[in-house]
This record gives sequence, structure tokens and C-alpha cells, in this order.
Amino acid sequence: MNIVLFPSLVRYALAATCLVLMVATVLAVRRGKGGLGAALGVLSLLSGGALAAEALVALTVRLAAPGATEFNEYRWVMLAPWGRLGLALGGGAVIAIVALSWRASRGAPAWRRATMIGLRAGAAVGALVVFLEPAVELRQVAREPNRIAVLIDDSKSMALSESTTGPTRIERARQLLTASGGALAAWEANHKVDYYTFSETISPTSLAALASNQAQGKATLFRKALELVRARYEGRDLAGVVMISDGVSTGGFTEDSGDGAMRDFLRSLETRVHTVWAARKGLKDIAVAKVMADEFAFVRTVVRIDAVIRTTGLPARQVPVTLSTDGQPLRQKMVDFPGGDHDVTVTFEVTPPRVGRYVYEVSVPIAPNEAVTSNNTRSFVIRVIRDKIRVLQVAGQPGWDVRSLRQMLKSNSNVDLISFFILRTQDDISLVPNDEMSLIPFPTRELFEHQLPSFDLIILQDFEYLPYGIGDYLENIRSYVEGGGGLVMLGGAASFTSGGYYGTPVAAALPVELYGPFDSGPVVDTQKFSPQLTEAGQMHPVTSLRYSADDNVAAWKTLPQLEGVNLVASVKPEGTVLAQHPRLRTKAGKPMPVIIAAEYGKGRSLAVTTDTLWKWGFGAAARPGDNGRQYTKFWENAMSWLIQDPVLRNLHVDSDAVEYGPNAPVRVTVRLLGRDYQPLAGGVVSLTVRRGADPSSAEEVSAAKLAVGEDGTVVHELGGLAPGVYRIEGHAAIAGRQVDANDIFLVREGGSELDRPVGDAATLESIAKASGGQALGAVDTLPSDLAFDPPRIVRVDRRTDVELWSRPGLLLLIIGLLGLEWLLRQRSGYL
Amino acid sequence: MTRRRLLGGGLAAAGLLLTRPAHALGPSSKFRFGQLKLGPASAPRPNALRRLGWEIEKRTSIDVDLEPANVAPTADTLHETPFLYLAGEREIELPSAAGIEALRRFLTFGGFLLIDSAEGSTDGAFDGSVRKLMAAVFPTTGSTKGLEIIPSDHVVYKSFYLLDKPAGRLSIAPAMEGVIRDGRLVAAYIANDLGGAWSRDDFGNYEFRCEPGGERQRELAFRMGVNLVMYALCLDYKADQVHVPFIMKRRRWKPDDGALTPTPTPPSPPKPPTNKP
Repeated sequence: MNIVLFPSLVRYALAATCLVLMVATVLAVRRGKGGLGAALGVLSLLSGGALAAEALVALTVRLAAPGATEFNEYRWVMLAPWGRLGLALGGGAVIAIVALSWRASRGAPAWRRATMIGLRAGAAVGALVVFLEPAVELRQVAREPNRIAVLIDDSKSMALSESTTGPTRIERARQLLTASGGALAAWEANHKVDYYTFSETISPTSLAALASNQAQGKATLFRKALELVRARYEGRDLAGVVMISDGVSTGGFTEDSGDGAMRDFLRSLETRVHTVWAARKGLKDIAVAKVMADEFAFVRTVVRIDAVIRTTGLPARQVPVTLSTDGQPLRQKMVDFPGGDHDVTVTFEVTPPRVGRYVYEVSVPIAPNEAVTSNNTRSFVIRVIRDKIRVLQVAGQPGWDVRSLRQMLKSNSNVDLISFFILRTQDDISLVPNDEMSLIPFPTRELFEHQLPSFDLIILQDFEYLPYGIGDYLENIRSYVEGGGGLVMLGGAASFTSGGYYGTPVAAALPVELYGPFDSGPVVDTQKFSPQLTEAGQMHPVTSLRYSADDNVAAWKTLPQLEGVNLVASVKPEGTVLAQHPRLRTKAGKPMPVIIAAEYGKGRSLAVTTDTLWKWGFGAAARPGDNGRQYTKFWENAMSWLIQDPVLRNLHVDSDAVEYGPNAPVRVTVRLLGRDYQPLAGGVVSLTVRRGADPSSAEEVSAAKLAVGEDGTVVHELGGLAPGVYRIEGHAAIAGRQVDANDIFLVREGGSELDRPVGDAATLESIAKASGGQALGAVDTLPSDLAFDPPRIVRVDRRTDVELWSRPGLLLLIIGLLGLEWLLRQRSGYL
Repeated sequence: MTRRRLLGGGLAAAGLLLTRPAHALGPSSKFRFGQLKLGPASAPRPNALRRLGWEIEKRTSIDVDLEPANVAPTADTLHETPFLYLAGEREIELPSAAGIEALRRFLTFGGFLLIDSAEGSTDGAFDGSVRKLMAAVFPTTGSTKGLEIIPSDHVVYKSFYLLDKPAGRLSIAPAMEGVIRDGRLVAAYIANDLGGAWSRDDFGNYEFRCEPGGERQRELAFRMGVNLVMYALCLDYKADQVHVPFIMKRRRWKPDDGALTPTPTPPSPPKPPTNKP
């Protein structure tokens, strides 16, 4: 066992320094610079003395421990109890002795002075050794090999290939390990190599098992993989990590955590991570990378949807980006993409027409030779709610019915009302300058062309359209109702037949047939009357002033009389008469309808053929104890029904979430209410589940007949659903009448692994850099000299201590040096 | 154009040419003044409301029944005429407790009362009895006020004409007083003898001169009458009109993203049945 005090380089440096200083000393002395010569001489001797000391130590150990060759390690120990303080004091004493010697030898010839100082310094160092009692501990030790963890990414993106003929990334990783047999063998000399695959988690593997790995992991979680590796080797000696991946990260390793946080994490691993990039350039892909839309939106209000379209490796092109729902395209934009890799944000705006859930889909067409096609579409759910009921009240003239309705609507905090009243007609006298009047033009075009779809409900009240030139817009009103809007026409001298609506598009949306121009007879009746509820009206949501039918009929009988009705020819087949005139008959002999409801297209319409409903409010309030509440109740009912308020549905079908992961359980709650809106215990509901964005082509995946419990509800569980859009349709019969309900939910693809398939070398480089490892990049073989931490765990088989301070030779050396120094001093005349 | 649309358009055109107009669905559909009778005192300007009604009929779209209805506070017909007019030139008899309660219900649930002083004084006997009446109907308690000055920016001054003060036969009261409940003007009191300005004899001549403004003042008195009726029928409609453009803008429904609306894909035709052996 050879003891070395200095590395080879230092040793050579000391020898060279000794020689150079010696020559410099000679030159300084010849030039008469005695002081400088002495100093250089002292330094030269100190350099040489250091080398001599090392040789002496080695010699001493060799002599003291003849079997030292069996030892393979040594270390210095200090037997004196002085510690670092003693070492510092001793060192200071040596320096002081040298300094004093320098001062005391002033005037002596340079060579002699240097020699005296050198001798005294040597003796002082010898004394210091005795003082500190140093020893060399010789040990025979053996080291345990530590571990190298090789992590191979087996997420789905590793199954991609950059070209149609080239290897996949996982194949490239396999080839790399196969070609690196020599390097792996070299690593095995001092380390043991463990192999793992990683995606959502890590799994031990082997080179043999890797050969059949198909790379199907649903995510690439770098941080989690490294954390798991670190945890796996907790308390064990980890030499380093080699990570082979395409760098495609899910879970936001580089996005969510800032650079600082990532560096802190990687440093906390306390091991270096070398990275190898398994991907190559050249991948072609176009993807809907991200969709940003609010989860909630308001009905009939524009909702903004931002979609990030990402192109990779494709030439410059124009791409149609389409927003769809129910399998039908809603909006489309042609977007120009430059060649190469680009992200472009495309903004769509849509207006949900009704309350409910909507599944939208943003899609781009598949490009030639595209690596991943599953990321060309992205679906998402928007829940559409109502902020306020938006009502447009258009009245042909001010009147008490108009005023009462406006006052009621204005006092309802859930209603956002816009009224337009015709205050002056073309027939009225106008002798007053316009600037002395507060009248404004009737904004027909703005209302009936531009703003119509923004309303939930349109009320036409004694409004004759002809004088205001809105005949061209009546079709808009009809299509508005057909598309899901609500329409009320109230009676009056300018309503229904007498309003000229016969044959107009608005008449098509009404639930009654009007008298034509060639029909004879009156079109209005002016007598007082009390409307009678029909059988349908007794329980209909619009006319239900009380919960039970009997109470409701009784409540209607207490209502003040009305006065005058518009006469109609008949009720349309789809119309439901809720209240009728007690005496008047249609030409067909049926009771003259007063309140009639109907569904038209996706919307609803209500006809009330009188203009004196205000008597149910203000008129009723003449009676002590009656606050006219029935008027408000009637209109609240009517509004809820007209806007198709979900509260008024008899059948409810609701999934417990709007989005699910693959194979996640789906709980569907079915609630069935009777005509009186009380739970319909024992009622049977047919439930059908279909899969597909387009309802016309959705395939049935499940069907069941469910009996609801005492509380009118039953929960139906679905499971094992593949990704896609699902529609639940419920059907039931209540007193012979069919009621329906539906819901929609989305089962997502598992993870976002292929959202961004292009290989990302930068992520791997940042991991390697922050952990102190090496980013090897796109290599074909692993280097055998890759830096790993040496094994730290040792086993000591034998040990012995060699004390240097207690050697007799050391004492003789000190005495000899001091004697020589004394002799020189004497001969120099310093004693 | 499809044949159906052509036929529909033709029918609609025929309907327009042969529209069968009606004139109100009944008496309740028309606007009618209620002349409030308190005690034996007769109305000082018996022709005033008929003349105002005639003007309203001619100047506005309101369908007016020209004959006012005489009503007492406790009459069953009180709520058939939501606009009440009370005029006087001397002290009036306050109604009974039941009458006061009936008036309170009438005004609280949507009625409107216009009080018009014809006595030519702002502190006469009629004025005093009006204040007693209003104090009885709407007692001042805590933050609820009784009669108060109605500011000139109130919507009643712009409900049809743009006005700044309540002119009548006289111009002795610079402002209108009124009672406001739940943000609504339920009673208005003007001491400028509006009825005196409106009133004509059977030959169509105005019965009283308007002082000091003459015929211009009379015109303003009619305008005030129109505005009061219009306010009673439309409430704060005119105040809302100011906000309509902002409401419309806030409720943007029309997509403005520059995208095209593609033609929906027609449903795929059903597959022909396959014959299996």
C-alpha cells in the first residue's frame, strides 16, 4: 500500500518548483540580491522538503507494516486530542518559528541563511508531527456495486413512427439497448443495471421483456416516474438514472411547474439523470391541441370557444376547422397554416338556443401521412343555463292589460324585459314638433331581424303589424318559434283575425285557425264572461293556479269576469284548449277557446283571446283579502311553460356528471312526476342509451325498463362505456300521454398522450441539465464512460494503524536538523 | 320561391286587403276616466275629462271611452276605472274608514289618482282637505313619505310630451306633488286647475282663459293631461327606453367570429335491405 500525500501532478509541480527556485536563488545571489536569494532558497527547500516528507511517510509505513500490500485503502487519523484547534496552533507555531528564524539570520549569506531557515522549519514540522500524533489507518475494504436505473418510456407516443418506413420510437429504444451491449457490460463492472418501463407509473422489466412491449401507456408522467424511482431506491445506493424517451410529456412536467420548481425537484432526487431522445424529427401531425370554453353558458347568449390547432411537420396549407354539435357542422373557418410547426388559435362563437347540456366538437381533416388521427377532433361539454327570462313585449296601444303585464314582468327579478308600445299611430293628429315629444321610431328591423333570437319569449299584445311595415319580418317570428322560441298573442282589437294575421307566417305558429277574409260573421265578442277550464286545463302547467285539480277548478271560479274575446275559427290539431268561453261556439259547434297552447316545431305558442286578464290582478284586488296573486301566478306558469323550463317537465333523466373517463361508472337518475307534479310511484320509464354525436345515426348500446320508487326516482348504472358521446332517452306514459326526457354526456379518451405527439428533446435536455446528468440526444449507442456515482457502501475486512509520530527515526531527524542548524549558526557567528 | 310560399304570400296579401278591423273587445278594453266623488260637492269642471279624453283619442294610440264614470271609494265599480280624477274648488268631505281603505287598496294594487285643484290657491280649503285625504290614505311612517314634490326629471314629464312643469288654467303651483310607492307614482296633485284649461262648452269654446300664458299654456295643460294618462298606462316605459340600446348590446346573441355556417349534412339514407339466402 503506497501512501501518497500529493497527486502526481502536484508532486511534479513541487519538484519543478524546487529546481526553478534553486536556479532563481543562484541568479539572485549572483546579482547581489541576498534577501531575495534567501527567500527563494527557503521556498526551494520547502518544496523539496515536502517531497522528502512524502517519501519518508511512505517509507515509514512500508517499514512499519510489511503486509501493507494486502490493504487497498488508507486514511489519515490524528491521535492527539487537540483537534482542529491544535492543528491550527501548531501550524501557526511553525510559521512563527520560520519568521523568527528569518529575522534572526539577517545578514547571513543567502545560501547559508536559506539552509538555516530550512533546517529549522524542518525541525519545527517534525516537532509538529510529534505534537499532533498523526497515524495512517490502513484498511482492506470491499465495495458493494450500486444501481443504475434505466427507464424506458412505453407510453402510446413511443409507438409512433416519424415516417411510414422507419422504426417506431419504442423499436428505436430497443435497438439502442441492443447496440449498447458493450457499454452496459462496462457499467456492470461497478454497478448493477435495473430496467423499468414508465408511462403512468413505473414497472420493472428486462431486456427480453422489452422486446415485446407495444408501448400502450396512456400518459407520460416524468416527474412521477422519477419520484417512484427515487422512492424505490430510498436507503439504497443509486448510481444514476438513464431515461430513454421521446420527451412527450403529459401532466405538464414542464408547463405546470416553473423552471425553478423543476430544478428543485430534480436536485432533490440527489442523483444524475442521463437522457436519450428516442424520437426523431419529421413527424407529421395536425391536432386540435386544446379547447378553451367556459363550462357554463347562458342560453341565447353568444359563447366563445377558442381552439388551438397545432400543425407539425406539414407543408403550408389551408385547413378547414369545424365546430359541430349533434353531428352537424355549426361553424367553419378556413385557417392558413405556414409550413413547419405552428399553433394557431381559432375562435368560434355560438349561441345555445335552449337550456341543457350540449356536446360540441372541434375537428380538422386528416392530413396525408399523418402520424396520429385521434387528436384531429376534440369534444367538450357546455352546460347552458338561464340567467334571466328575456321577454319582448310589443303592444299596439297602451291599455290596462298592457300596463298590468308590464308591471308584473318588471317586478319579476328573473325577467329581463324590453317593451315597445305604439304610443301614436299614423292616424293620430300631430301638431307638435317632434323635439317637444319623447317619441322614438319603432325599431322594427332591429327588433324583428337582428335581435329576435336573443329573446326567450315574444308577447304580441293588441298589435297590428301592418301599419309598421313588419310584414316582412313575420316569417322571422314564425321561424323563431319553430326554432325553440316562445310566442304569446293576447287578444285585442288588433289581434288575431282583426289584426290581419290570417294567412301570415305568425298565424302558422299560433295554436288556432283564424277567420279568413271571406268568412262572414263577427270577429270579436264584447260580452262579459267567466272562462271555464277544460279537462286538459285543469292540470296543465299554464292554468294550474293550485296543485290539485279540484282546488284549481275552484280557484278559477273565484276569478273576476273577463270582458270580450277575439273569435277564432277553430283550434289546430296540435293545440290544447285550456280554457273556453261558457257560451260562445265556433262555427263547428265547439266551445270558443279562450286560452290555447301548442307546440310548434321546437318552440311553443300560447293564444289568449281576451285583453282583460288585468282584471284577475287589479280587478280582483278590489275584494278584501284578495291581492290579485292569481294574475301573477298565471303569467309565471305561462312563461315557464313557454320557455320550456325544465322544472315543468314530468320526466327527468340526468347523468351524475357531464364527462367521464373510459369505463367509469355512470349513474343515471330517473325521476317521474305525475300530472299533478307529484312523484308517480311505480311508474315505468323506458330508458335507452345511444352512442354517437349525430342523433340520427347514434347506435343503441343499452336499453332498460325501470320502475320508479315511492319517491318517483330510480337510479340506473351504466358501466364499461367506450369513449364517445352518449345520449340517454327516457320515455314514459302519464295518463295515456307520452312524456320524454333526454340527457347527454361524454366519455373521454383516456389521457392526452397523443395530443402532442411530436418528440420533445428540450424537455429531456432540461431534465439532464438540472439533475447534473448528460443529455445524450439522438444516439444509437450508449457510451460506456457515462458518469455515475461510485458505490458508497463498503465492507471493511481488515485494518491497522501506523503511528508516524512515535518513530525513533523522527526524533533523530529532528535532532539532526536542529544540530545542523546549530552548527551552521555557530559557523556563521550567530551564536 | 316555392309554391307553398307563393300561395302563403297570396293569402296573406288577401288577408291584408280584407282585414276585418274591430273596435275594442268591450268597454273594459278602452281607457276610461273615473270621476271620484267625495261627498255632495259636484265636479267643478264637468266637461274637462271628456275634452281631455277627446284630445287623447286624437293625439295618441289610446282607445278612449269619452264618458267618465262617476265612482265612490266604496263602490263595487271602483277597480273598473284604474285612473281616478278628483277635482274640487272647496273643502271636500273625507271618505269613511272603509272608503279610505278602499282607496288605499286601489292605489296600492295599481290604480292612479289625479287630484286637480280648481280653487285658484295653493293653500285653500280644497288643498287642506286633499292633504288630509292623502295623509289618511298614506300615513307617513318612518321612511315612507306622503305627498312630496315630484322632480321635473320624473318620467311623468316625458311619458309622451317633453314637459318641465305642470301647467293648467293657472300657473300658481310650480311643481307637481305626488305619492310614490314601490317606485310608482300612485297619486299626483296639481293645484293649477288642469280641468279649467281642458274644459269646453257644448259649442266647443273653451270655458276659461288660461293665465298668464294664454293658449300656449292651455296646450301645455293638455300635454300634461296626456302625459299623466300615458304614465298611468305605461309606467316607467319611457325611462326604460333610454336603456334599451345598452340592454341589447349586453345581450349579444349573434356570433361575430367571422366563421361560415356550413350546410348541415343531410341524414344518410337508410341502407337497402340485404337479401340473405
